[in-house]
Amino acid sequence: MSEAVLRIENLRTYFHSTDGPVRAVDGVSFELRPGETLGIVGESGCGKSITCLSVLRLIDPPGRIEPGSAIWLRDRNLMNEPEAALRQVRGNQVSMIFQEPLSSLNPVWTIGEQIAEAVRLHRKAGSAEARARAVEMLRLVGIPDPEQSVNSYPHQFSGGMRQRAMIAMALACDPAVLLADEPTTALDVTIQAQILELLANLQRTLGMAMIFVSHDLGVIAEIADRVIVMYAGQVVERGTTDELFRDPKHPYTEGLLRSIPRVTQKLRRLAVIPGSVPSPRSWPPACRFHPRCPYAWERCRSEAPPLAAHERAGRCWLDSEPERRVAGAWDALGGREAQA
Amino acid sequence: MNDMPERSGEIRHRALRLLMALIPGLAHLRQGHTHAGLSLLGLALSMITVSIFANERIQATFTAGRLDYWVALLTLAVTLGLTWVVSGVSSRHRLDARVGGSQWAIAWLGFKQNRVAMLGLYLMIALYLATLLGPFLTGYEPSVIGDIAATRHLPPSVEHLMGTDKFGRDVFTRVLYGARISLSIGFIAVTISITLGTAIGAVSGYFGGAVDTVLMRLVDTLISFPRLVLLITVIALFEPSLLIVIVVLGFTLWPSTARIVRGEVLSLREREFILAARALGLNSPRIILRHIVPNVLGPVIVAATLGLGNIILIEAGLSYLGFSVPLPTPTWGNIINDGREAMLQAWWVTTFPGLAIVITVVAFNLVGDGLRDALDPRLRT
Amino acid sequence: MTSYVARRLLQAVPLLFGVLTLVFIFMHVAPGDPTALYMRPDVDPAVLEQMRRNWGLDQPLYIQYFRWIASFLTGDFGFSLTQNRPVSDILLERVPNTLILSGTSLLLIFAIGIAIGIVQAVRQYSTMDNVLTVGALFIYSMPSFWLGLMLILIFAYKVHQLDWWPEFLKFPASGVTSTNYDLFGAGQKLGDRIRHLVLPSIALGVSSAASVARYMRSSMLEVIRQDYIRTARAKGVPERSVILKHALKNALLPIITLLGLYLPFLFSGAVLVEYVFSWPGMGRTIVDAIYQRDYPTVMATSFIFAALVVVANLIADILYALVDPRIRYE
Ligand SMILES: Nc1ncnc2c1ncn2[C@@H]1O[C@H](COP(=O)(O)OP(=O)(O)OP(=O)(O)O)[C@@H](O)[C@H]1O
Ligand SMILES: [Mg+2]
Repeated sequence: MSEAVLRIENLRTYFHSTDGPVRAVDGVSFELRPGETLGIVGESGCGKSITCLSVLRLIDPPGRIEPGSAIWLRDRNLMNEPEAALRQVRGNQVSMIFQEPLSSLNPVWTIGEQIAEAVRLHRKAGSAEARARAVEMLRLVGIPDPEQSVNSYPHQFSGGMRQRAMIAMALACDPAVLLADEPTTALDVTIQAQILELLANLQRTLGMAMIFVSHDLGVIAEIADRVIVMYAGQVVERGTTDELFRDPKHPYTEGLLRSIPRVTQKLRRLAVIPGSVPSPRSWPPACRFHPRCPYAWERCRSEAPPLAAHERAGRCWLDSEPERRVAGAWDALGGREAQA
Repeated sequence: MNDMPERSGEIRHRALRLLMALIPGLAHLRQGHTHAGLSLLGLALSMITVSIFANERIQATFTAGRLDYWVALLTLAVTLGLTWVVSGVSSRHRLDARVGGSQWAIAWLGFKQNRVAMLGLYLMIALYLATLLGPFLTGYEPSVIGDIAATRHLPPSVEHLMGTDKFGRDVFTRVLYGARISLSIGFIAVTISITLGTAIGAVSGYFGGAVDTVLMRLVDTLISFPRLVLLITVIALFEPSLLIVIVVLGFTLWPSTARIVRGEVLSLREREFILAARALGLNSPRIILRHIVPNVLGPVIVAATLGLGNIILIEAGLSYLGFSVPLPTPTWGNIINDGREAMLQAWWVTTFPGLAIVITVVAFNLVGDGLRDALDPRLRT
Repeated sequence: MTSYVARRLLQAVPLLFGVLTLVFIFMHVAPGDPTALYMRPDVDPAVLEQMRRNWGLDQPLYIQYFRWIASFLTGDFGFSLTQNRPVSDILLERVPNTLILSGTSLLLIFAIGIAIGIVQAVRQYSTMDNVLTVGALFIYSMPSFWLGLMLILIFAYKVHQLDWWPEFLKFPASGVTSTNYDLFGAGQKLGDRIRHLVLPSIALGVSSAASVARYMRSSMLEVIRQDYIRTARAKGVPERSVILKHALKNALLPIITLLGLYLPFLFSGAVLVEYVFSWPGMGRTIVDAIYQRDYPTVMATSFIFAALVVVANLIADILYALVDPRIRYE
């Protein structure tokens, strides 16, 4: 097993307001190895984006990464680095691409200027050199006619091309780690597939490690080597993609898998996990998933389950009492929901 | 036998309801809102007192003619009426706010929590009170010239809070009476321009087409003139007097309101409830009055409050140039102009009326900003 | 871009005609016909009759209207009775003075307003932000003419009583130049003109500067929240550049449109400020002309004011298109 490029330990990011802290990310740990793709999956609001932003230490007040959290980039803890050193990391060793390709590009700067800026900053390149790099990057991400396109403004690009430009910008300095925060969510299905393929190819050829965030297990299945599942600001399950899809440990993962529409089950309506994501202002006590869990019993309401330190683990009491995982519990829950 | 006490109870109840409806603040007091109740009651009582006991003095101070007197009286009546309406509406909406509340109740709650805006509101009420109670607050006459040699250019002191001017008149008194002119001109001119602006904007936005094009070109044209230039150009055609100033102000400042209202109406026009009203076959004036106007009232009230501050500044400018109410009636602008030549010997004559303007306009701006935040959360910064 | 500019031009032309028409209406709404305005004991009735014929007042109204427009468009604004020379001569002399004063103010307004707005947005809710917000509220609630008088009182008069007050911070109270201006050398002349500009341009400008600061603050706060600012930070751009390079250009866009809105406001102020500082510009001209019942001058000045506003709006819109690529490449 090779040394991890990025290791997050007990990351807690809270937003402090007058009516108490919002615990958006609450004790997340994971590691990322060179050249691999780690999928992060979870419902909206579970803290995926905040986790990524925390890695770059880009949390604005009133948000704060709480003391005790550690962000190890190789052998440096980014929590202890000064702002100037962090700027050297951002866009250089660790890059990020965002969910909304339109609003993430500056409307009054050309695509070329925006890509070249990172090169000038981190490579100390002259403007001609930086521009040449921008053209090269645009060609790499498959933008037609890159010599012309560097001079275009974001509004002249289609959604897919904008996301390609974002990728070009993120990769311009050969980062060791790419944080891709739902890069395909805002795109059409066909474009989505193209971007996924592009990212997968680039990752292989450039040999970087990637964190790929999505709330769509289908997308994760295609691209990730390993997956962590997040719920309510915590990691609830981790494992390789195969293990996770074949044999989910946590009921939440089970529920997510059930919600993937399957061709063989045409007649059954799309199953969604009943209930809604709780508020990060007041997570449910003990196991945070228990109000929505079909198996929940007394223990789940009184005692928080731990997440074992293994490669493959689930944060659930079912681990110690597997006999409680009864078939048909989900359907019963669905029925209860329907009656209510 | 049994229904006798019940009937008298009923009568008592009705009488109480009637009293609460008639006397501002009483309902609040009964509901336990001592603070609001007492302020409203006090406000109403003081205004009634002024209109009964200070009538001659009001008449005496508006020496320029009958019209000025009626303006003062009208302002008094309108303010009294407003107090009454506000009292009635707020006592009813208070109850609503607890059980869910209307849009206005929610806006009021929002406004109340804005401490700066409330400060502005208190300041505004205090200013109006000061102008109405003017005759009781000072022992001097604003325009009577006494022994000039003995009293001219006295610096501020306990007897003359703001000193005296070149004719030995008490500047504080003149500023106080000047407030009356400035505030009543502002009030009436804003009422005219807001009504006109709302009507024209609503018609323009609702009908669209040629009507809209013509009206909006007119608005564009009027807005192209710098306000003060337009005003003095028009006023130049007449002899300046209170009536002319009010009419000209009212009839030249409506375009900005019309623009705001038109914009609102354009977005409202396509909304379901208007479409439904049309489908029901309601006629246009009815739809405009019953459905459109109430919905644009929020932005209009905000524009009116901010406009009041603006009009006070404009009127001050006009009277500084001598294009407003003629002397010797004091206005803030002409007091400043009066003190101009002797500024070096008697700084107080120019300084204090200016400060009065600043404070008044600040109060209106604070209230206006507060209203905007409360009525239109979209615009919050 | 060209089509955008063409469209804006096509909107400006009818607006100018609207302005002309309105001025024409003012002339005719005036009590009596325009010659009645000249009816004074010292004017010979025969002259009035001649004037009536000269002006074509015996013609139908629409002919008069077209003549009026034709003469205004060719720069013939009529004859000033009080100064006994063409109104266009007077205006030629006065318009530059007003443009210098308003231009200086405009520069001041945007330089100060934008700088303060940025500082406030970057330090939102800090003590400095609050102090500046309250200060701005007071400043833009101030009548410009009163502020002008106060500035004169303090910086032109009172400071002469203080021995320690530096000489270069004492400013003249009125006029464009000193009385002995002609004796100065070139550098001294420029200095003298600038010294005369200081107080009036401050009096004219600060209230608008306060309001620009307010707009700039909210515009900047709006921009700082955008995703592309986060992108810039994620690229490792230093905070200074994030604000001054990435955010500023975007935040300035809505401010440019204000340029067109502030000019009429400034001109309104100029009428008063020029009067206070005896500044021989258009504002002073129109006020004096009204005092002297010199109607041709009043109407022509009023028209020029409005025409300048129309042109300024046009320029602001074109500027906006130049800066915003979304319009430039339409
Ligand atoms: N500035 C903030 N102030 C307070 N709470 C915040 C702030 N930003 C985020 N949060 C909270 O943090 C939680 C996690 O947000 P995050 O953006 O990480 O969700 P996500 O998992 O990325 O969801 P999505 O799939 O919608 O992108 C949310 O519940 C949100 O309410
Ligand atoms: Mg997200």
